Amino acid sequence: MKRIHNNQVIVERVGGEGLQQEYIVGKDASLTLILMVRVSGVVSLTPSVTLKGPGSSATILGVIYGTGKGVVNITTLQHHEAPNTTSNLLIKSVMTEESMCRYEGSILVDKRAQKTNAYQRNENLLLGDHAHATSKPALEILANDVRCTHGALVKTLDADELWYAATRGIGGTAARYMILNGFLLSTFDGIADTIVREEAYRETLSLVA
Amino acid sequence: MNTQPPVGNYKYGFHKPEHYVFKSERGLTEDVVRQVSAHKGEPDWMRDRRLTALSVYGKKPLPLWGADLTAIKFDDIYYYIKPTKDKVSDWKDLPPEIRDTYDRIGIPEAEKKFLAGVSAQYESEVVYKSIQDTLSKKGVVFLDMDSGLKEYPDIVRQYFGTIIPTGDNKFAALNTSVWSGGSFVYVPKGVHVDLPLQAYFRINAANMGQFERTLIVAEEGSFVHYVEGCTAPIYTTDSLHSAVVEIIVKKGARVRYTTIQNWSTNVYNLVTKRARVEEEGTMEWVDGNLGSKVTMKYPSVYLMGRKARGEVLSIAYAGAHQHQDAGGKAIHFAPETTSQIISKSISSGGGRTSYRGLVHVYPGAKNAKSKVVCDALILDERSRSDTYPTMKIDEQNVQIEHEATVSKIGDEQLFYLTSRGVTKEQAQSMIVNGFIEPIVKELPLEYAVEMNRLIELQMEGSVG
Repeated sequence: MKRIHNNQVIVERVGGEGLQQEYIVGKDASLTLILMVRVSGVVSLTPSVTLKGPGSSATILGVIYGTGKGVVNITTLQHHEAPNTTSNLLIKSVMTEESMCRYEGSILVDKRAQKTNAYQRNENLLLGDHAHATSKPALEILANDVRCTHGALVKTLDADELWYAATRGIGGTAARYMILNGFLLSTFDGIADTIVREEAYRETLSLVA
Repeated sequence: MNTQPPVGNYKYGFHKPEHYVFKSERGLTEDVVRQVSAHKGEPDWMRDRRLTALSVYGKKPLPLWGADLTAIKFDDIYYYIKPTKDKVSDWKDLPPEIRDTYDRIGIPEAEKKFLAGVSAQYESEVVYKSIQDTLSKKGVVFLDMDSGLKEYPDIVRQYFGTIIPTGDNKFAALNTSVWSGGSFVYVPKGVHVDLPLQAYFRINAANMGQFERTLIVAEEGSFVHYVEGCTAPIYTTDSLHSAVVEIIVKKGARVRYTTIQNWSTNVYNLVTKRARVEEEGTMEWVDGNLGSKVTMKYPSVYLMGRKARGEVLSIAYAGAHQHQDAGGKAIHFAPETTSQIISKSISSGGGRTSYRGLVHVYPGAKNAKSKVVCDALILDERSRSDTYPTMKIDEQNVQIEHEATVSKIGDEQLFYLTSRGVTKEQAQSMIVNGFIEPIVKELPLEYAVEMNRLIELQMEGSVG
C-alpha cells in the first residue's frame, strides 16, 4: 500500500512479476501513476486507487505491449470515497502475435463522494492474426452529483492511415511502427510536466523496441 | 365494481373481475404442464418439448448476477389460465370487462387509426384479433402462437426453440414448459408489411404468471414492424412475467420489434429475446422499460451472415423500489457485420438502473464494426446507476467502440431554463424528454406520445 500526501509521480515498470498495489490519495493530494508493461508470459496487474481525502485527484496512464503468447490480465479500480475528487484513467495496449489483453476496470463512487468527476478509457490495437482483447469496464455510482464517463475501443491498423503513409513514401514496417508509436505515445500527451512527459515517451519507445 | 384503489401513481392500476373457463392449480408440476398441453390440444412433440423443458427448468439455478430474484415465490403462481371459451374476431363480441380493460389502454383508438392488425392478449390467450384483408392477401400470417401451432405446425416445428434453446437459461426453460399465447408472424419472401403489427399483453388474474412465446419469421427481402405494449393492473402480491421472443431474419430482410413495457411495480419481468440475422439482413430492437419491480432483459442480435446488421435502442426508467437491469447483446459471427447499441437510462426516487451488455466478435468476423453508447441520468441522491458492458474481441480487423456516461441534470441547464420563467419541475421534465428523444423519435407516433406522458407521470414529485 502506498499513501500519497502531496503531488507525486509514480512509475511502475511491469515485466514477468506483475503488480498488486493499492494507492491511497490523501486530502488535496494528487497522484500521477504511470504503468509501463511489456509481457510475453502471463502477468496480472491490479492497481487500485482510492481517493480518500476531499479534493484529491489521480491520473492513471498505462501502456501495454504484448508479444508471443503473452497474456495480460489488468484490473483497475478507481474508488471515490470523498467529495470533490477527480480520477482519470487511460490504458492503451498493442497486442502482437498471439498475445491477449483482458481489461476489467471499475469506477466506484460512494454515496458521500458528491462532485466526483471520473473518467476511464481503454484502447486496444490488435496487430496479430491471433491477438485478442477483452474489455470490461464497469461503473457503480451511488452518488448523484457526479460526472462519470468511460469508453473502450478495439481496432486494428487503419488501412487509410497506411495508405496515407505509403503515398508519402513510408511503407510496410516503417509505417506500422510509426502508427503504433503514435498510438502509444499519445497516452501521455496530457501530462503537464514536460520532464515527466518526455521521460514517459522515451520509456515507451524502449518498451516496443 | 371490484376495482382496487390504485397504488401510488400507477395510472393503469385497476383490476377487473376474472372470468375464466380453466385455471391450473398453483405451482408448477408435471400435471400442470400436461393439463396445459391437453387443454390446447397440442401435438405430442410439443407436449414432450414442454416436459423436457420442465426437467431442465428444475435443474437450472437462478442467475448469480443481475437483480435480486430471491423474493419470487414460484410455488404461489398460477401457470395457466384460460379466460374465455372461444376466440372472437369482432371487437363487440368480447366480454364487457375485457373490452373495458382495452378501452382504458386505448386499443380501439389504435384500431381507429387503421393500424394493420390488433391481436390483443388478455391473460393467457389471444381473445381478439382482426387482421386486415390486405395482410392475408399478401400471405402474411399474424396469429396468436397457439393458433400458429395448429394452422402452421410445420413452420412452428422447424423454428421453435432454434434461436433460444430450452436450456439457454432458467427462465427460457420455464417459458418453454408452460408457454401460452404470444404471437406467430410469418412474412413471405419479398413482402413489405407497411403498417406496424400490434399486440397488447396484459396480466389480470392476481398471482398469474404470463409466459408468452413469440416467433417471427421474415423470409428473404421482407420487412415487418412488430409492436408490443404491456400494461398490467396492480396486485397485492408479486407476479411473474417471463416471455421468450425468437426472430429469424433471412437474407436481406429487415425486422423491427418495438416494446413499451409498463408493468405495474410488483411484476418480475424476466424476458429472453433474440434474433438470428442472415446475410445483409437487419434486426432492430426498440425497447422501452418503464414499469415492473425488476426487469432483466437484454435483446440480442446474432449476426450470422455477411453484412448483417443489428441495432438495439433501449430506454429504462427506474422509480422508487424499481430495478431496471436492461441492455443489449451483439454477437458477430460473419465478416462486415455491424451493430449499434444505444441505451438511455434514468433513475429517480431511489430507483436503480443497470446497463448490462455484450459485444462479442468471433474469429473470422473480419471488418466487424460495433458502437455502444450508454448514457445515464441520476435525478436524486437516493438513486443508483450502474454500467456493466463487456467486449470480447477475437478478431484483429475490427472497429469496436464503447462509451458510457453517468451524470445528473446539469445545474447550468436548470439555471438557464428557470431564468426563462420555467418552473424547476417543468425544466427537469424538459431536459429528461430531450435526453431520451433520440429513441422516442423512433417510436410510432402514439407510442411516442404515451412514452413522454408516462415519463412525466413517473417524474411527478421526484424533483430533488
